[in-house]
Amino acid sequence: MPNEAIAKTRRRTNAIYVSVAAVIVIMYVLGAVAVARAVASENRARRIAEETQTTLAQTGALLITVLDAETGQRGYLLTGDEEYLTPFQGKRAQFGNELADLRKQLEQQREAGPQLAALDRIQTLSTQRFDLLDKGIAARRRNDLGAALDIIRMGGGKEAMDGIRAEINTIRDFEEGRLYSAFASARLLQDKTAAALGFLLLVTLIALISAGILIRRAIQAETAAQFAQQLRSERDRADLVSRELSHRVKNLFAVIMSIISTTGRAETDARVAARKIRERVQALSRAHALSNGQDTAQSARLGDLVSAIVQPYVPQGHKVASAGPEIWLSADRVTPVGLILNELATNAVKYGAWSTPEGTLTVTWAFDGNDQQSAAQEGVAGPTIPFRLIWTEKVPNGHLTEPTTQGFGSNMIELSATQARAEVSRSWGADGLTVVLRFERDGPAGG
Amino acid sequence: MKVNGKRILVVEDEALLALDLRFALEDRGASVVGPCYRLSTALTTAQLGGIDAAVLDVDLAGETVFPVADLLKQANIPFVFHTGRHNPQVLSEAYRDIPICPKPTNPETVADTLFALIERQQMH
Repeated sequence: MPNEAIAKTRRRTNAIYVSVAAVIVIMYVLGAVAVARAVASENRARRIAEETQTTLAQTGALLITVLDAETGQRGYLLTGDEEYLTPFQGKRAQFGNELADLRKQLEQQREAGPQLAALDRIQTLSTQRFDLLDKGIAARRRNDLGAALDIIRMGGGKEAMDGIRAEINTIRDFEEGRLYSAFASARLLQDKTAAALGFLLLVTLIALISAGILIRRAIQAETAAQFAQQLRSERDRADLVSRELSHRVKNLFAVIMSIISTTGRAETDARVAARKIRERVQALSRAHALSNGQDTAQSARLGDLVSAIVQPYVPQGHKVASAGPEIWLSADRVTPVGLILNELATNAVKYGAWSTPEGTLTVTWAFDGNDQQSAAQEGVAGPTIPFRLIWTEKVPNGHLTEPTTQGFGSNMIELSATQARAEVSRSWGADGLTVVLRFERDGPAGG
Repeated sequence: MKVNGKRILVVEDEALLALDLRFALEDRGASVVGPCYRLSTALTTAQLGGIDAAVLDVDLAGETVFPVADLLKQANIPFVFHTGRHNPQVLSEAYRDIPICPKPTNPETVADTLFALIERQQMH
């Protein structure tokens, strides 16, 4: 089935659209996740950098504060001037605050265990350091300069300061390590993300290209199927027309054969028989030439049929007067009405109006009923009401004689009238002949 | 001849063909019922009965003769199809054993085919 094939390619095209859309959506989701992770990692590295910077600055300040305090104490030791003790006390208090700040800062960080341990040790060492400085100040106050210098010489202070420096360096090393590893992992993730995005782009491109190829193929297949279907239906129609034509030709041959055999039966003279056969076949051919094969309801106009059949018989000096509305004959009526008109015309030439110079022939047709206007309009679509044809031959001097025997011609008229769903009546008067054909209306009820 | 006086139904929408068939049948001593030009009159005539055999044209002014054919088959009345159809061999599976005379066939041949059918039925 061609429709089946077209539906199949449509389904396939839709499946391709859906799967490509799905691939693209999945790729985008994966890409978004990767980018979000890279951004988060970058942010973390930046936060760590800020923390590290703060911590480094604070540790630097811490060291300077201790040294400042030491400088103040030294000034007092050397001069004995109490004024030097004011900055010493200030720096000592400042040191305590800075230590607390640093502790707070480190406690906010997530991974600060070793740094806090180092800070604890700095606290211990600085307490030792300040104790020694206090002892030196106490000795100087007693004016015991030797004892004060001894305390310095013992080296406890220097030891504590070296310890503080070492611990500060420990904190700094940890912080720098933390910063380094955060940036390193951010960079790694960035590289990975870039690679992943590249891969996703590639996959999306491949999906799009292959979808394009598949859809192209599907469309080609559909076009081919449609073309095949069209070809098939055209071939079917041509077959139908050729069958119909063959049917008609066979029927026509059958009718011609019956014209030959029935005319042959009726005539004794071979020449007369041949002429009548020829005339009847000719009438058949004219009626056939007139009929429109496409529209069986409106095959030929009655007026056209009258002139096509009767005109060839008009003798010199005569004419046929014909009038009537447009009435379409259905296909099954054209041939029998043509044969009837042929018989009437040949009789007119032989025995009737056209056998004398004065005779006249009038053919009229009309719809039955009073409302001629609507009848004529209805007639355009094929007569749905009855109609009649009136054939009038007039001879002024009353030359016409009614035939005594019914010839085969009148027999043929009767038969053809029945076939054309019409009733025929003839009346002979002193001055001529009137033939009336009353046609039933078209349509199912008329049959 | 055994066909003498047999009543033959003629269904044919071409008047001259019907007349020709009538002559051929009457020449052989049969009498003709009809001819019927339309399916409706053919059906009515067939239902009335008193028919020994029939010649059926298949296409009658837009209708097909098959209802008449079915009626005759049921009544076991012999008949032949007389048709101008393009490919009459494929009329229908239901009428496989009904003889077909494709148009144009001599009316004498149609008559002979029908009479052969009547004689065969009489022998059985």
